[in-house]
This record gives sequence, C-alpha cells and structure tokens, in this order.
Amino acid sequence: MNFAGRSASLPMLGIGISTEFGVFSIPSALDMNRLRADWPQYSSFIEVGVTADLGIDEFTRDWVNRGSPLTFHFLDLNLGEPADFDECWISKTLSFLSFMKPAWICGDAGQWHFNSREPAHGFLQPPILSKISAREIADGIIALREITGYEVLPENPPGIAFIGNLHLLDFFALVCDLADTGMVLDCAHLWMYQHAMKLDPCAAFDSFPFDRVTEVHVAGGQLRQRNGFRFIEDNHGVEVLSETWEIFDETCRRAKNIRAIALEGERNSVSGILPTLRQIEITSQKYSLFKNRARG
Amino acid sequence: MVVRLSHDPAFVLLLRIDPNAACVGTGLTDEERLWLSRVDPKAFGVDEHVRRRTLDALAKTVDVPVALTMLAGDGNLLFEFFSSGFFHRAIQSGLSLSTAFCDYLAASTREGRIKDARIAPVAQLYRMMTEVMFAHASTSRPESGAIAISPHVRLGMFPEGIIELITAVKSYLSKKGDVWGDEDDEANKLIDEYTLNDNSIRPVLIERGAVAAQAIQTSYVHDLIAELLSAARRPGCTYETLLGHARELGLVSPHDHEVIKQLLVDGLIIEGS
Repeated sequence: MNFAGRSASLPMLGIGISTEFGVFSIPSALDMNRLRADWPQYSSFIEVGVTADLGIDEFTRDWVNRGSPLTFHFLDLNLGEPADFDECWISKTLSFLSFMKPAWICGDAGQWHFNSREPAHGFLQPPILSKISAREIADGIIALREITGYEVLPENPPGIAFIGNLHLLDFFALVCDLADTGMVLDCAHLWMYQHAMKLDPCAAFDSFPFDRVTEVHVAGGQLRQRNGFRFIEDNHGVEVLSETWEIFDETCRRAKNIRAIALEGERNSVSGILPTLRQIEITSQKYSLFKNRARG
Repeated sequence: MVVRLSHDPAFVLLLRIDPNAACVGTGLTDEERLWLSRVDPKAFGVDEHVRRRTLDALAKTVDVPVALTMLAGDGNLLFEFFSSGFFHRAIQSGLSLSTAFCDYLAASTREGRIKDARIAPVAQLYRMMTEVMFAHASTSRPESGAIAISPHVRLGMFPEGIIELITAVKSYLSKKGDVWGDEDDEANKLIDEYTLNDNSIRPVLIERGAVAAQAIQTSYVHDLIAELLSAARRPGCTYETLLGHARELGLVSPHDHEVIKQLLVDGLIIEGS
C-alpha cells in the first residue's frame, strides 16, 4: 500500500508540544501540567525527543501510562548512513517504541553526529542537497520503517551553511517520493534555509508535494549578525518570526493531510507561548485542519 | 568538511585562499568543491561556542588530562586542538575525537608545549580508556578454537603512581564539579605531591564495566597476568598456547588451568564460538 493509503490510518493528533529528556524538570521550563489542565487543546500530544543513551524521562513515562498520544523524534540517527543503524541503537530504540507506542517516528534528516556515536561527536547539520544524498536518506527511511513497523517522517533540519545543487524543498520532495513517505515540515527551519539562500519565504512552494506533509513544526527564532554576516538563529524562544508565520500559513493552506502541529517551545513559560499557540489554533481553524482529532 | 570548517577559522581561510590544499584527502568531486565554494565562508563561523561545547563533551570523557592541563596553566592549548592535524585527521578519517584528543595532549606534552610531563602517560592511558569505552561488542570476536583478549580490555605499561594520581584528580574534580576554573590549595597539592616513578613501569589493566560502558576500571596487575593477556593479544592464540605460557612462567597444575579459567570467567579473555 502506498503512503496515501497508509496515512489514512494515522491518528489526527492536533496541536502539541515538543519535549526532550528532563526538560520539564527545569523550573523555568514549560509547566506542562498547567498547560494540560487549563488549555488541553494545546497539549493534545507531545513529541518526545529521544536518544538511545538517555532514553525516556519520568514525564514521558507518566504520559504514556495515562494513554496519551505522542510521537517519537529521534535525536541521534543519521538516516543516510547504514552503519549508524547498529545493533545497540536498534535494540534500545525498539524497546522504547514497544513501551511508547507512538503515532509515528520522525526526526531531522541530516547528520546528528559526525563519525561514530560518541558524546563529543554531536553536531546537527543539514544533508548535502543532492540526488545521491536524497537516495541515501530515502533508503534509511525505508530501512527504519521495516525494522520498526512505524511510519518514518523526515524533518528538514536547521542550518546556516547549505551545500548541494537542489533547493531544500526539491530535495525533500525527492526523498519523500523515493521512500514513499510523508514528512514533518519545520517552518522555522525552512525560513533559515530560504534566508540563507536569499529567497522569499515561500520560494519553491509550487512544485512541492504538500499532500505529503503529515506534521508541521513552529518555533521561535531570531535574526542575528556576526562579523557582518546575517543569519537566523533557531533559538526556540517565544518570538516567532513573521516569515515563519508566513510559511506556516501557506503550508496550512496547501497541505490537506496535516495530522499534527508541534510547537517547539518547551523551555518557555506557559504565558510566553500562549499567544503562539493561539495563533496556531486560529490558522488551523481557518483551514479546517483536525476535523477528527484524537483526544489526549 | 563542514565540521572542520565550523571548528577551525584557519581552515576556513585556507579553503578560501587555497581550496586545493584544503581539499587534499577529502575525496570531494569537482562538483562538490563547487557547491562548497558557493557557501559564504562567514556562515561557518556563526556558532561562536561550538569549540567550547565540543571541548566540554571531550572533558567529560578525558577529564583528568584536561584538568591537569588546566592546572598547569596551559588551558589555551586545549582550544588549539581544533587547529591541529590530530583533529582534522580524526574528523576526515571517521575516527574517535576522544582518542585523537588524547593523542594530541600526549604529543603536546612530549613536545614541551604542555608543561606537566605527567600528562603524556595519563593521556596515553586515557586513550586506551576511550578505545575500550567506545568499542562495539560485535567487533573482534576470535575464530572458533581461538582465544583473544576481550575487546573491552586493554593492557598498557605505565609509570608507578599513575592510578593514584588519576584517583586523586577524580576525587578533586568530584568536589569541584568540573574541570574548569582556578587553582586552589588542593589543586596545588595535586601538582606537587603526586609524582610518577619513571623508573618503575608497571602493567595496568583497563576494563569496561559490564553494566555501564562509561564505568571504566583501571588497576595494576601482576606481571604473570600481564604476560598471559599479552599472549592472548597475539593472532592464533589458543587455550593450549596460553597453557604453555603459564607453565613457562612457573605455574604448575592445577594452578595453570585455574588462572586461565579465571581470566575467562572474569571476561578478560574470550573464546571463539
């Protein structure tokens, strides 16, 4: 069955929050219990960032034990490198998946670490935007889908230096086609790319297969300058750049199969992110997304 | 290439003024070099904290050599690692950065750039620790009928006093919290009191913990055990080979068999399946 057929059985998750190990234990971070109690429509699911080394924290265990929906976001797999699918990583990941039972697996399709998986090798960078690289990543997606039995949705990573001969959206269109999969479109990361390439926020949208967009990310960012060089910093702060909103709105208009929208703002206060969550909700309602949402 | 460019401003400059020299050994095609040349070089320098973050990660694994380097007043040399051949070769060749860092510290000490001579053997011991820490269980299985030293074990010859020095520095660091910061009385004691005896070289065993890969144990071992483990490192070693060595070293039955069996039980040597 092709992805269009398979995705029909994916749950409609709604609006949620991304997490990483231990973040909700930090006093200044998001009070998820308060968000869940007072604004449940904004905490319909969590997207759990996982590394094989750290595993799952107490908050996530509790979330799972309550039967609440979540997605699994790997933070340590180089999809395009077969050697990265080692026994130890696979074994640990399968045990996490067995407990978590996520709606799907997702993760930035680039390089999470250089060389082998060691503490000092962490360095997230975008993929080389070429046909060969697209093939390698697609092969990794297919392999992971077969190993785990879950849909694997690549996400466009953040970056400042992009190398290759394809536009990022053309690259991911190719990846999705070769792997027959959907994707997570990160609007903030996309603006980082468009800005770096001196393009308009919605450049190359017309040729992109938005029907494959299953999940969307929104996050805060900041325009910065260093030695006269201007770039977008992916700081996950409370301020979402206007261009990110423009990308988000246009994505929601074009993508008819969105099943989840995650705000990456877990290190901010509830009051800090409420305006952003409200805007996400308004846009999703404007385009009639989430008609049959799962309740958390 | 991007990792190297992001950590080393001098390499960014080299790429700009002499791309052929910068690309030696990278295997990049002409097309890939063209793509790289289209990136604004300033893009590689936007993350001003990348070297510190990588150094922090290295310092968690290579804590004692880093701490001793700081106490020697040579902390600036730690950052120079990212401009060294050790760093660039490790990245380009797909090797462990922790191991390359240990090699860098040992070489810098031998060259006199780092003033505390104790750092060279400590860094060499830590190099073995990183090899053991990051060894995969599936590597280095001996063939059927053969015996080999476990991939989670290393054996090295080091000056007497090295384990005591490492233990003392670790104790100091556990109270202090991290490797960075200024000297204090306890630090000065470490500098002055813990010496290495280059006239007494002893075999040291480095083992990875059974439960936690990061729990590496180091201990002095008896010369006889060291001899047997060294024999197990040689290709073609069998139980009979080791038995022969044990008898040559003076062990008689049943102790010859008992010692070898204990090495197997302890997981220091493994048999092929």
